[in-house]
Amino acid sequence: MTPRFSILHALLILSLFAFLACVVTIVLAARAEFRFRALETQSFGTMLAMDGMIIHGLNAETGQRGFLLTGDETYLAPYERGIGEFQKAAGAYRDLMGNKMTPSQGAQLAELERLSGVKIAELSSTTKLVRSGNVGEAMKLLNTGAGKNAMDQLREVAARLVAEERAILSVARSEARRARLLVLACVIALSFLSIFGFALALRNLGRAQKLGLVEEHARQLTEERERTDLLARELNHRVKNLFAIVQSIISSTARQESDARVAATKIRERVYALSRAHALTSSIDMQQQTTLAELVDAIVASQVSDHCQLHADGPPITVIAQHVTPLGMVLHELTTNAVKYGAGSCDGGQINVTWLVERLDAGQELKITWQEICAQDVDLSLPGPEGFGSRMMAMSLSQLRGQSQRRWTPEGLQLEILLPLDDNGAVKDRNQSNTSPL
Amino acid sequence: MLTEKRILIVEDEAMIAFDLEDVVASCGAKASVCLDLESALKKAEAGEFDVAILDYNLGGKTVLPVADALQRKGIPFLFNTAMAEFENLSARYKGAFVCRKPANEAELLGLLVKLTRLPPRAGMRKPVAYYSGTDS
Repeated sequence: MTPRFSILHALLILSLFAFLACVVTIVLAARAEFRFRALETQSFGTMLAMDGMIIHGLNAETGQRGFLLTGDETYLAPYERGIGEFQKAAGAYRDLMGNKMTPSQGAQLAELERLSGVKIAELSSTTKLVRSGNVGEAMKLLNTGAGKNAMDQLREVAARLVAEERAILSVARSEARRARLLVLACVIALSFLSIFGFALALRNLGRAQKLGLVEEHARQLTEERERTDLLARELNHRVKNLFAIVQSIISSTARQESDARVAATKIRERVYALSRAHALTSSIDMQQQTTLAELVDAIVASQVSDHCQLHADGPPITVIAQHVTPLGMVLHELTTNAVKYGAGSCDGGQINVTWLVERLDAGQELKITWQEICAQDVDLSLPGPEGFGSRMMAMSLSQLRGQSQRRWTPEGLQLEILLPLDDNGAVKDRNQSNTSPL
Repeated sequence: MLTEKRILIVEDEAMIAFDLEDVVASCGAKASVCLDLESALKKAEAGEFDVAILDYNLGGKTVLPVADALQRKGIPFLFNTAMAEFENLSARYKGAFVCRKPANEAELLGLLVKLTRLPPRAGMRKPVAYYSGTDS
């Protein structure tokens, strides 16, 4: 593994941790926010309860004093309402706080309840005295200042409770604010992580595409190599086969000719014709086929001298590499004979090589006509029909399932060769099936 | 030594078949040349031969059906081939000779004489495979 890959690994692990940390932070922040909201509601209630306690206490006190001064019973209505609410205030505070009170809050609440008891006792004692007509006693009780004292202390305790509540709320508020900031930081971090993730995904996509290209290239190379191997095998086989053919030419010619010089010349000519024929199908790009016109040009035209006119004509006929040898050898033997004994040996001679395709019921057939025209009479006794050349030609034509008919006219040789063609109009051979080309 | 021997020559290349025919004919044998698988198979199944020379590759087809037919008839044969098929051939046809193309004339004739001298069917039972020709 490359170091770069390790760094990427580390980054990925780090990202995972960062992501988890963000999730935990956001959850904690949400909880802090929730706690702050709940506390806010509770604080609002408790402060309201404290303020209410003071107001209702003052109301009760006002009613008490009005009744005391005037003896008018109408003052007792606000007094009674004030007392009722005043009594409920401490309970309301306790209900709101539940078990969430701090020890100091608990102690202050107890003090508050004690003081409210003292105040209520003072208030009810004075009103009771006024009702029973004992105004002087009531005034005396009031003048002790116990009621005022209790009320003052009550105010102080309530103020302390409110102050403590405010302090707690303030802490929760700053905690919530900090949590909000942390959430913001997390959002920013997550955004960066997303961008990083996108970048990584894009890079991987690019790499995958590149990898695809590399694989495609490798596949092409493999195909190319397989093709090259196939061509090499094909070429190897062809070379071996050619060696065998050359050997056959040498041995059969040598057996037939007793004179070493004549044999050597004939062998050289035949091997030369073979090489000319194969040159047409052995170019560097492994061309696998040639045409009859090219074969005639390579074998016949190269041997006919200037004195003799060669006329070759016919439609394009495909000749695959395997059929170049038999067809080339046939054309070579015909040309050799013509040059030695026929139209090629006399002045103003003419050789016509023409071919055409004939359609038969069984398929197509190629008809090649070899016609020699010589101004002088030719020696009809040469070459004999059973000579080496004729036998070799017969064998070669047999390979192509061909037939030939030889006629001697006063002007010279006239030969007709019939070769069956495959469905593609190419020369075929005995081992080729009738329907599919090789 | 091959006088009057009937020899089947299966070879898709006319020039080579022509030469092989000449070679065995010069020794007094009667050659019968087949340039394609179908006619070779017919002749092999008729079975009127003393020995056969088989080219392995006949225009893309293998000569193996002919070899099988000859084996059934108990006619000895040798492969004359440019293909590197020695191992496959000697494994499939115990004791068949494989001659690497292009074959040396004297060697080919020597192998033919050996094959015709073997007692009937013995060529097929011999456990050893031979091949001649130099390695390419």
